[in-house]
Amino acid sequence: MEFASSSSKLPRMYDVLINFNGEDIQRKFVSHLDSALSAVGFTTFLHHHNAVQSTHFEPPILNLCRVAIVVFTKTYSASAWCLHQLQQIIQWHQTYSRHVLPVYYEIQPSDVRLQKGHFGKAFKATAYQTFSRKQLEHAMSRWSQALTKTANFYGWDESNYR
Amino acid sequence: MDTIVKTLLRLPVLSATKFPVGLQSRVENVIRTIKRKSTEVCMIMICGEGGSGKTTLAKAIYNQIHGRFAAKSLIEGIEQINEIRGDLRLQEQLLLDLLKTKVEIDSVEMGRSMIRERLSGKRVLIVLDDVPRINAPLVRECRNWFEGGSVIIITTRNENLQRVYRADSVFRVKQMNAKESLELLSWHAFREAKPPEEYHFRAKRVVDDCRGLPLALEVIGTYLYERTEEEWISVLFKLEKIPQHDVKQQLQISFDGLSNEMEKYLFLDVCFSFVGKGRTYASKILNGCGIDADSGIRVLIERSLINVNKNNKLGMHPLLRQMGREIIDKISLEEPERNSQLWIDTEEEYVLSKHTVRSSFIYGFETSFGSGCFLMCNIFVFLRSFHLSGQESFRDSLSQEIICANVIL
Repeated sequence: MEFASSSSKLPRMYDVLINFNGEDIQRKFVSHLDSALSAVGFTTFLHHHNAVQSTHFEPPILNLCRVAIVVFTKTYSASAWCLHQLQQIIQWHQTYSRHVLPVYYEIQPSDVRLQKGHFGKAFKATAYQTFSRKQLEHAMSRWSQALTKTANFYGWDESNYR
Repeated sequence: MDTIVKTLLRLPVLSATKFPVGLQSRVENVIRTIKRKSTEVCMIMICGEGGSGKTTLAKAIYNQIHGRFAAKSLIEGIEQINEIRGDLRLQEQLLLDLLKTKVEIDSVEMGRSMIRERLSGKRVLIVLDDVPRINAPLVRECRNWFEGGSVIIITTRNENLQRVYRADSVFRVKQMNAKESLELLSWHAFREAKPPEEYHFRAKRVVDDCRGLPLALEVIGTYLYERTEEEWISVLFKLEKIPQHDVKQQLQISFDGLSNEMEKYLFLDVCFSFVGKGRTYASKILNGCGIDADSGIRVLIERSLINVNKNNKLGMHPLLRQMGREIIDKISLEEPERNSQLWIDTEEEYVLSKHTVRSSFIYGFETSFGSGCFLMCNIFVFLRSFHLSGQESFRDSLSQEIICANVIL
């Protein structure tokens, strides 16, 4: 005997969104974090360039998550996509007072906060590539604010692990 | 890595509830009181009507502070534990959580002295959720045994318990204000903090009808997710006809709106037989009846009609369970031949009058697995009672699947 069942309509909710850039860090760190979180029963969404492009999310994925972890690496600031997302994460944090937790992997928190060193150079290069001269100053300061804000949250330096 | 996981586990927003609207400030309010009493045993009572968010608040507090306690216990849904052996179960659970050893207790007196011996001078955190009136003397005595800094949190619908337990502070869970209510409803109905412009007016009217009760907002909100305007209007129409204090009837809108009979009966099955049972166990039995239980259970969870806890056990809000029981009562009144009143007496044993058994068995057997799973489920209950009493001949005539299910039972 078969019963027809109404298909599930609600979009999935995720406990934790993990925002990062690059396959390298996914292999080295994010996958481990992901399995550690799943082991205690959290659902996770791996938030990287390809994950979001391949599917259309409606409503925006952030609204389906409850906590965001941002994994900063040396290459993070080389991705315009990441920097855009970070700006939205901060906005989401301010609107809904959700938690944002930075994790630093082989990078100094101060490099992120003040956009110094390698991280800072890559940051500037990305900005110059992405924006026209007219937009540049304004857009860059918004990215920069998002980075500083995030780096001011309580976070972890994971460089010594693994 | 571990510290990240630990920190996340401690975030109250992550496990207490899906959309913690206005929760943090309430949590902090209680924690401030706890901190003020950090040298003595602090007993806190959280009162409020059913569905007002007592359990959520208590859980969120527990999540926030449990890291500071070596011995801790959170026991949910105490009212739903059977009354006769309830006290013993409660004591066993407490000892199991606090000492991490399994003990069997034969009498309340024995449990009392064990708790006294083994837990004296310990700093503990205990959350007793939905306490009707169990064991007031025990809880009162506990206070004298535990070390200063211990915290006991009790949630209850019964405000009179305050005197019985002599709680230090009593928090009445306030109704959500209009703004919070609208936000909570929007999260459930639109997955956004605010309703879209064109729904604003209707959402506000739903909020008015829900009187700031989070449970009603959640159940009705999820029901309204991705509904058309006409469906909104029909829900509003129904809500208006329901007296404002009849929360159960409001919740029933969601039950009535389930898309087919199978899901409705599944809800009643869970309500009757599977609260506190493992999700896999329940699906196995129900799948054995030819029901697509996995997807059905998923729908019910999405509609917030049932829930699954961390140990993968099925649960249900007490008010929703009461609603389910009333629906079953009505069914059995309207269709007396079905006589589906198989009440669960204790957690494991079912009380069946012989007549009831026979009629429901024959009815179910004749319709040969064709009339919905609710009856089928009763047959398992019935089979099991036969199994226990040694009359196994009945089983031979049943299909293989059912015998399988019976073996699981």
